[in-house]
Amino acid sequence: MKRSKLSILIRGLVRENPVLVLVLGTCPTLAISTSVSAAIGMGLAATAVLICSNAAISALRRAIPEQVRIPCYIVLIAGFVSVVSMLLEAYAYSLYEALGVYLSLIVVNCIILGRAEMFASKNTVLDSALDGVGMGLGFTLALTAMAAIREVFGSGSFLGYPIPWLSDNPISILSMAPGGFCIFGCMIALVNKLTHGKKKPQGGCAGCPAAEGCQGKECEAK
Amino acid sequence: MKKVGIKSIVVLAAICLVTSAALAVVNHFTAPIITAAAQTREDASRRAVLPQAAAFEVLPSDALPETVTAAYAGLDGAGHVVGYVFTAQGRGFDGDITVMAAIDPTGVIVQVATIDVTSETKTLGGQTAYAGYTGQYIGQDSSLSAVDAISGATITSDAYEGCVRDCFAAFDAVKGG
Repeated sequence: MKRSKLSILIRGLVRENPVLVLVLGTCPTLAISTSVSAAIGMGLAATAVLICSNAAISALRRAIPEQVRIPCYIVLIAGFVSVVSMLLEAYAYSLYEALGVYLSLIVVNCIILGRAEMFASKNTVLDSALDGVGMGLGFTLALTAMAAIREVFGSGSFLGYPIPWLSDNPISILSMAPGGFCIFGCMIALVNKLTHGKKKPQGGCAGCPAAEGCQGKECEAK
Repeated sequence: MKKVGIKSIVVLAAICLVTSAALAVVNHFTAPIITAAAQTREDASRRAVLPQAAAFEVLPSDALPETVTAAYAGLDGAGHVVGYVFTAQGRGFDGDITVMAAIDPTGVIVQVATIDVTSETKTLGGQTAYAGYTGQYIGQDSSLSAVDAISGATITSDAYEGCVRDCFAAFDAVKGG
């Protein structure tokens, strides 16, 4: 299935949102979505790594033998994360501090390894980079939306600025894990409703959100 | 099991080497900036705990306890010592914590500041970063009698107090010498 460049870019935003539809990268989503500024920062850092790693893996896709593809992908991804980490520590220390250990954990963010395996290893450099942009922005969008809800109602502030009535009456559970899961579930349901409407779930390739990326080969191989 | 081909080994080794080289290059450019920025942050926090000081003079570290990583004498405009600032490290709950204490020449704490407790649980040991906890230390002498630990955060509180006691030990070493 040949896809236009624009659709590769757009589908990562809602229709195939990595967090809310493909359900990848849920760990950093739940951890970092308590503050909007950290969420935006994390999203952009992960997007930068995703674009670079997708492009690099796509460029090397014919050179990397199938047997060692996972170690090779991980070395490349870890390399890019280390570079981003060093640059943040040098030029944006407050963001570096806010992300803490989750910056290093971008290496094992399922979105990055997942897209490398599902898309970058089978498509051209430009398509892979565009996919990285789309998926990364989708991740940032989902993260920011969740963070907006959790920060505004859970802590009564937005981007660190307290909101008059809400800061005195916060729903603290939203800032903690249980609240995070609730909001997460509600958002998945909302996106599901928006993109699929009332259609019954279909079996086979038609019902799988990752269908465009794998083009049926993954299931055929099994 | 399929034998791992020579090509696989060569490609993986090549990728590792190139990635390491690239990281070394980036590190070469960012490391000086990172250390300079860290130094500026430390200077600013020294000034925050000992506002009476106009300048800081680094003190020799040979006689100091091992956990004290930095020792400075705060000097006023005329060059007189108005206090000492020590930075000590301790083993907290889940990593190392760093505490800075300013002690005046009579052995009384001017102010303590939490430099790094990011390894501790944010809602428990992490509370040592706030004035509600650090304010207890103001005006205390080496007995630290009025300092209460944070309930539910014994390990972090003990480590924090340990750091401040190490600062007092350093103070004694500096005064005695």
